[in-house]
Amino acid sequence: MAKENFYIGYLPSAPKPLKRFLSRFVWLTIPILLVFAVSLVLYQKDYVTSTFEIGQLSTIEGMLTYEPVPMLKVPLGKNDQGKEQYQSVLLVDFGKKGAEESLRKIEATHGALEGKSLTLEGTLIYYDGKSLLEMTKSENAFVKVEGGSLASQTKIIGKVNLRGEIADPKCYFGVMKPGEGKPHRSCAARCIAGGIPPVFKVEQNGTVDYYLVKGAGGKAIYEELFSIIAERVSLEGQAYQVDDWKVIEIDDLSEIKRLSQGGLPNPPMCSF
Amino acid sequence: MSVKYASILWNRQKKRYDLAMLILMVIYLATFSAIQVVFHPNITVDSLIIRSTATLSFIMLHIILIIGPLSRIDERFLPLLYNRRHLGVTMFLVAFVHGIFSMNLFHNFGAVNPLLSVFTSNPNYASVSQYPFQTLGFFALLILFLMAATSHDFWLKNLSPKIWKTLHMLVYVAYALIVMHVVLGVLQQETSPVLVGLMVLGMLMIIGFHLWAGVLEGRREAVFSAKESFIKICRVEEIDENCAKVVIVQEENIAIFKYEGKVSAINNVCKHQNGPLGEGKMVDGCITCPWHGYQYLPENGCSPAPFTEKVTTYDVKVEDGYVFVNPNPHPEGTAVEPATI
Repeated sequence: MAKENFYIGYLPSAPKPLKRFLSRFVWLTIPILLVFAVSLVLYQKDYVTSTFEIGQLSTIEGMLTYEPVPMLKVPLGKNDQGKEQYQSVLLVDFGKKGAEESLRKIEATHGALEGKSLTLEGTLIYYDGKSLLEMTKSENAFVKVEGGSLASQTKIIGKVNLRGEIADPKCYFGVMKPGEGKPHRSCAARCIAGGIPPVFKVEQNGTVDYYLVKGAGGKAIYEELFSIIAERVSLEGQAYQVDDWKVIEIDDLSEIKRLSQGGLPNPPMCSF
Repeated sequence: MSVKYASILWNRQKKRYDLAMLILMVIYLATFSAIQVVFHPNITVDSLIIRSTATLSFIMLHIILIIGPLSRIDERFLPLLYNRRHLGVTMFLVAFVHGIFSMNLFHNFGAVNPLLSVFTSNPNYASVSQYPFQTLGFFALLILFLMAATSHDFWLKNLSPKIWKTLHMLVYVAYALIVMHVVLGVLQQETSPVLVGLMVLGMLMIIGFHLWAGVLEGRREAVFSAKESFIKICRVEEIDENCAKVVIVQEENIAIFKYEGKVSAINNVCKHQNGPLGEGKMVDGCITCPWHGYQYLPENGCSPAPFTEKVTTYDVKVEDGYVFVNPNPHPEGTAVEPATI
């Protein structure tokens, strides 16, 4: 008789040869799944060592400056030559939001903060020599403010033409992995549109450098960069350094050029 | 078979099916996560969840799409097809976790509604390389949701088999959207040829098994184009007892069954999900569809009460040891006297 192993799932029991066959198939599936799991993991790119101290609040004190972007100039102690060292800790808010709104709220209660020694509580983000503080509790990150007399040190670099990728520093320096590239593009766009200062990551001769991105005359630009975030582009403009952060002021946004990424064609440039 | 919206009618086989499925899922997730943590200790929990659920649901979708042609190639795979909806609903849930975590991570906590952000955060719709790939995943997930939500015979009955089947054939659209979601998304960053190769392998398997099953089906179905009212089909002994021979005569897809010294002919296409009745068998006096066990009486093409499915029937006769069939169909459910051998 043909179809001796004919079986429908609602019948009480499957014929033994069919059970054996299906059992073998299930066992065979296991090594196939393992091969996929191993291959998918081993052939992906590694994750960077960036850190977001989620769930761990830190208190830091430093001089607040709004230019080029909101940050605290934090004293690190003296070096071997007895000279005071500082690190500029970029400030961002909770979520995909810049710190400026919360800082203005604090100012509404405690008066002008710029140039003063401000103590904030938040979550540290750090990677590759750069640090950020997420004001996790927004304006409630405020701890205290005291007078201060520190000034930022600015050094002119001059006109530069740089190649790299615009990223949002909050994700890139620790919150997300990977915090750059196409898969992360939407998040970076939302962060930058929310007022988190854009950072240009430049890779040249095996070294990586970071520039805060500003418009002509130091104007803050966010949504103007929307269509090229996380793409390989070249930027031209005036560069300078404020303490330990480099800044590029783009002379003409329409001069931003998309660079070939190989393979798929690039989109048409947006009109700024 | 079920005509009312009842929860799953569990039996031992369904439990074993789901248990095997869950064990395999756990094995995959545990292996994927363990290797990630060992080889990529800097991975975040969010990334681990997003990537593990993405790859698991994509693998499950491949298995789902391959089960159909596989069970046409070798009927021993049919029990996997019977409970495929369990696999489908579970795959949707895994994909949903991927979608929710991705939307929360990439689009939440901003100034724009996360759902709106999926469509507006990347404006490069005119580009190929920079296309907003997350929108493709969103629409694929929407299709998978509609399929999972209607994955019950209650919906098949109420939507009508034609609409239900059309809706569920959208799985191929969902698959195409997911392939583009992966190609234009993560593969723009993860450029290892091995990862590209694995995806191409998956696509080739799906296409290959479908073509293979199609060729086999074409071979099984004898095609007759004569204009006579009764067409000579084959000798009686060429049809196995309680089984059928499938023929296509004048564009009619006919299954001719031999049973208890008789021969009957009904339409080969099951009303449930277009399953091939001729690849089924007579069980308890009923023609039984190999896919989900829908049953029809051979003498009138009607499902036994309380079920109401009906297929067309055909006149059949046996002369000099040969089976003849008239390809002009009777209306669905019309009683036709079986031919006596």
